Amino acid sequence: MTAEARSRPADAPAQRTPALPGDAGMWVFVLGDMVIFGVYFIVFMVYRGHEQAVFLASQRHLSLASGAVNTLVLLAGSRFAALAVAAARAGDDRRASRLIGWCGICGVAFLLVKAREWYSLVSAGRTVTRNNFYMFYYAFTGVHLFHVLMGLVVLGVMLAELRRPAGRRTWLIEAGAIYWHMVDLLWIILFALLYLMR
Amino acid sequence: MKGTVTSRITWTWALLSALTMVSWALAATRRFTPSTAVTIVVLAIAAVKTRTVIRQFMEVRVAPRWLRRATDAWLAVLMAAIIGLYLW
Repeated sequence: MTAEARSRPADAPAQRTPALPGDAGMWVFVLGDMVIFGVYFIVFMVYRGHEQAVFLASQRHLSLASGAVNTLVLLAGSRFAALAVAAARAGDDRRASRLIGWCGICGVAFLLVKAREWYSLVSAGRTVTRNNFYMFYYAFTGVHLFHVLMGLVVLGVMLAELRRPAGRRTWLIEAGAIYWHMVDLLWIILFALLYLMR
Repeated sequence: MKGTVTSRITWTWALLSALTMVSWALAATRRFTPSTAVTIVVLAIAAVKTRTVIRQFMEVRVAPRWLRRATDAWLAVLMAAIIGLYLW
């Protein structure tokens, strides 16, 4: 069915959009990462079930505001990334570059808020060895932070691609944005598990 | 056409941000005690937000059926496991 839709002549404008947003390689990576994080989340819930009181007591010391602000920051970044894809498809590369820049600013803001949160926790003696909750907290937020850093590299690749004078590949811009949205959606679940649930 | 695309993106972002504020406010009402009601609602909101990012921002809504099914299956299995383990 997919192959049929792809091979159809471009008489209907809707059929011209690629069947798979971005490219297959990026989706393999994204789906793989989602499965790996999914397993982490389930392991976290198993431990939480065994040590509910410890997890709830430790969770009180996280900054709910920091978690929420960082969620809003990543969502804003996702909006800019999605708008950049729309601009790139419309051929407006200058606008796409500017929007990717704004997305990058959101990424840097996320890192700063997270660094501040880690600093205040560590200063209060709430380090990775304190208990299982903090072990999961630092492991999850650390791995996620690495994804945000990689996201900034991806945004750089997207900017470089938009500056290529000849043969700019729109699918590469789409693939970069898909990566960024994955970083966003993993944080949405992390925010719920670490900061929100009671 | 372009106006429709950008306004769809912005509306999606506004919805996701509003849902974030709701779950933030909800969690702030119960900072020190367990609450099944708060937990179920914040997890449900997280599930809606996650699916919205996948369908709208990642454009899975117009992707091949295998990708729509795979992402929905991932979310359904994950959320069922999380809520099941929480209640158990």
